[in-house]
Amino acid sequence: MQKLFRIGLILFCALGCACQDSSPTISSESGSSKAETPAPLPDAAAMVKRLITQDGCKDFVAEMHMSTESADGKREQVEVRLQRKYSATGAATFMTVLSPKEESDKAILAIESNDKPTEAFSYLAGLKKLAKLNSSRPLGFRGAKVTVQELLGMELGQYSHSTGERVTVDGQSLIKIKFDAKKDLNLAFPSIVGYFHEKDQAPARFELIGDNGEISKKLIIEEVKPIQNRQTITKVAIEDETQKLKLTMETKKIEYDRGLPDKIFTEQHLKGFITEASAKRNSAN
Amino acid sequence: MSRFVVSHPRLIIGLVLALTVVLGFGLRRGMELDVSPLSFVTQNSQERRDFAETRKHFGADDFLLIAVVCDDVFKPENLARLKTLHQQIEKVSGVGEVLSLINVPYARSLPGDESGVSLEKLIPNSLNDKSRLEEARAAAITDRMFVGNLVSTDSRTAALTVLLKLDLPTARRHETTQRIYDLTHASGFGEVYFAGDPFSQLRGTQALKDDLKLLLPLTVALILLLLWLCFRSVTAVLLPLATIGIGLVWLMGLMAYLGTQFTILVLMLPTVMLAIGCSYLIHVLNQIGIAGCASGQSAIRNPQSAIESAMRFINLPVIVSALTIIAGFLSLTFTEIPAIRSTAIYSAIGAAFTMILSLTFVPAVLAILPARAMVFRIGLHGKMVRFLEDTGRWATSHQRLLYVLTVIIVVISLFGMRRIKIDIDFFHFSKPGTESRVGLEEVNRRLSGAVTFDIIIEGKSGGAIEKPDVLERIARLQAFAETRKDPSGQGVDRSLSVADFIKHLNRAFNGNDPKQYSIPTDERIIADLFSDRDQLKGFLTEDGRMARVLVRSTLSGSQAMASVVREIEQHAKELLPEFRVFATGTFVLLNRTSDQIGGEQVLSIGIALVTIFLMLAILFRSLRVGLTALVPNLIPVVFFFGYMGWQGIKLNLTTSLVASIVLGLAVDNAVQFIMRFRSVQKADEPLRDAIIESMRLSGRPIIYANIALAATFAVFAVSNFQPVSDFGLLSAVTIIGCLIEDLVLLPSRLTSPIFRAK
Repeated sequence: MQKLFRIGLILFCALGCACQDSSPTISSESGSSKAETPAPLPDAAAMVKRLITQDGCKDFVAEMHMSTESADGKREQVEVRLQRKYSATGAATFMTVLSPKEESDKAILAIESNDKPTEAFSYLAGLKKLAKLNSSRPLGFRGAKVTVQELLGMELGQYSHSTGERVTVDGQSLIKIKFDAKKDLNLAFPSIVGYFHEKDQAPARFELIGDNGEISKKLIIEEVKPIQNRQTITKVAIEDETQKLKLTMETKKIEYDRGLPDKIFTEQHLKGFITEASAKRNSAN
Repeated sequence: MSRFVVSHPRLIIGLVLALTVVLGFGLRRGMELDVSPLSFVTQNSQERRDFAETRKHFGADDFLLIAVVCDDVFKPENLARLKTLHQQIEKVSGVGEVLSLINVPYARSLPGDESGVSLEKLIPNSLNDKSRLEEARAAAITDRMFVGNLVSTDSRTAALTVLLKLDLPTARRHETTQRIYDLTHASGFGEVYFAGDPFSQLRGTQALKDDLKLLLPLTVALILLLLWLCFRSVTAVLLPLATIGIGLVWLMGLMAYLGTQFTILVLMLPTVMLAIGCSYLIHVLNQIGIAGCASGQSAIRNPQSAIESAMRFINLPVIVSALTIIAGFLSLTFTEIPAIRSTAIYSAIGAAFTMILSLTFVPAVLAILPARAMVFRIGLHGKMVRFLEDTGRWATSHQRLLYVLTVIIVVISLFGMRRIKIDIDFFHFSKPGTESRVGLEEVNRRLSGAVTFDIIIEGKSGGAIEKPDVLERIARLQAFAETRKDPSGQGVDRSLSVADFIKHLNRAFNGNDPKQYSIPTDERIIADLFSDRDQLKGFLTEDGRMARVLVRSTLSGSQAMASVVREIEQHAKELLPEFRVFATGTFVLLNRTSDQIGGEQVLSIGIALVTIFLMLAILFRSLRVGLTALVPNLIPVVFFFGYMGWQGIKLNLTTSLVASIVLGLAVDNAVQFIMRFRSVQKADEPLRDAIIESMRLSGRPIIYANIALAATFAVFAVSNFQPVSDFGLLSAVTIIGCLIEDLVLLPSRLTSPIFRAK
């Protein structure tokens, strides 16, 4: 389950930023930024909405590969499958581990509802019980601390955000947007600072601010490729400032709008999946 | 050498001043203070390596513990206050992690057969939900994970445990702790208390600075007074002071260049140097004064010859005295305790600096001063001298009585020595009533023991701990540990391990059934309960190979703790024979230091004795005389240990230094006396006359030198640190013992024909 959590972190952080539609509108906005007089700032609300709703994508299935490297050079690898479906009121996610095999009976179901605390569930086959988790719940993996919120791509919809400001980073013009957590939603990060490329409004990096007001983690978008006419982030680097860990996540395969059935995103499915996977694993052992 | 110094005074003064400027430059950035208990712990040992390994796996053990007191912690307004304080502390720069009721995780049982648990925080976001708060209270004051650790059983005290970031520089660490202290005091709670190493270190550093501000001026004032009383000369007052000041600048400058940290033991250095320097200089100035008198008017017309003559006589005894003191200090360098070794080395260097300056700078300055500046009152007549002569006569005519008295003192002292206890109590370094002591006592009383140590259980392979029977045995070990108390009820009051987390989760997954507060026997269930690993990171390694049992104790003295730790460690080894089990933690390491002190005390005194004996033998060119001169000096040391035992003063980091230092100091005055005695002997006169003459010429400076030593050591009594205070008082008492020995027992002993100069 821990590997799953960790993968999820990377996965959702990336995919949360991934599905940037390469529409002509964005291109034209990008062109206008080259005008002699400073261009007006892009509409931050629209940028954020595109990001948290995956620009209108109904669902997707992705397979992700993640590797981590600790300060002492120790490496870990894990692969997960992620199924995510959007609705008008939020999103549902079902995440399973593909490898290593010994973790293949781990899965998480998360139900996100707008302006309500997110509910995530795991099922413990031995106990035959559900474990309910909230967004700020930290989950450990090989010394790394990952919260449910990170698993779910930062839940940016649960934050109020600023209108943005133009900043220059390494010679690039970026739009900086500050996200502040709404009250009583059990979020792990009181604030997040996001940077978006001004030319195409694609996300460039995110800084997750911890309770102490310091940067806890940095997400840097390293590679973007067009997949099914959607600009998909295929490689993300994550620097965990607190735990001195470096993580990289790559999207091996992604398919949009598969028409995922609702039953995938139910407790019953979660229980069934884990019970079956657990039985398989036990018989293999 | 004396001729060179007197004939090239400006060269000597120039060299001394140049060296002072060079070494003084090293002090421009100041010195770093270190009041960490780890400075008292051996660096290279298996225990230290185990400690480092444990900290790597489970994090630091030097946390700041804050207790806040109110009428009821679970009242919404008090929880809101606690939450604000928690959030404020989290934001303080340098803080790594804060744990309190506000963020502690809680497995909340959900209704329904398959519903399981909700893993959330103990205190809900909304503080208006009364039933949820009552549920939190019920869990907090009964569950082993919370009660005593985060809240008191009466719900009146809440704790915040603050871990500072690793590798914070000392100054930043203190700033962070001070900021937390200020925030807590401003939080609106009725009472607040602080315990733990960061707070002890903050207050320790402040106390160290206060001590320096107080002790040094007080010692200087005392020495000024004594020098004035002794010599009634401005030169004789200011010159020693300038000389010792220069010696101190050399020593501190050297320490600063070498990056030596200022520990509570180093705190004693300036005063020790002042005392030793003062003692030398009293003898040097006294001899110059005697030489002036002996030369009559010619001394005033030709002061250089008087200085040269005096220095020729005094050089050897001062060098031998300095070497004996240096030997005393160096005998302590064989220890593996870093703070003691460093203090001993620098004390020896300081004594060497003082000796060099006494024999070069002082005569050089006197050589360029006008003759009238050399007029000292050396008191060769008067009441004190008559008293000394009478003492000499009495001592030499009551030898048998003195031997009997000596035997009685030695026997009483030997009985007292049997009562000596070795003990280091780091938390009681501060005096009763201080904020650190009160904080510790209140945390002990209201929550649970503020002194912690770990029992580490290390398996051979991953997952070794994650077995039902192993967890069950760990739980039994905890139950055993919690019964370890001394007759006064002090001892281990709580422990926490991975077994407690598993029990907590198992009960929650079983509808909060109290019967299920146990370790499940099904390995699959155990595996499920271990899936929430983040909560276990302080108690179980990621691979499940190593577990930590955190033990909280109200005991802080090394002796008491050592016994408890040994018992628990032994029981753990019996319960878990297939595992490597060891106790560790800062205070466990201090216990090992305590164990070392006893053995090293014997070694250091042995080395000091042999070295001093060899020096005396070389000085008197006779092993027999060396031995005879040494024996009377052992009596003050025996008396010191006896006094310690009868007074109930414990042998610790500072008091263990006294014997070796005092042995050196005792020999110092004995050497002065014996040298004088041999110089005034006449072949056709009885030795008794030489003793009386020696008493007349050297008795007075010996008295002043010993009073100067005793007074300056007694100044330590006002130190903020109990061990330093004990060190000062013990040293002062022992030096008075030395004075009596030098003026009564030594003259009596010197009537032996072996002391007749050849």
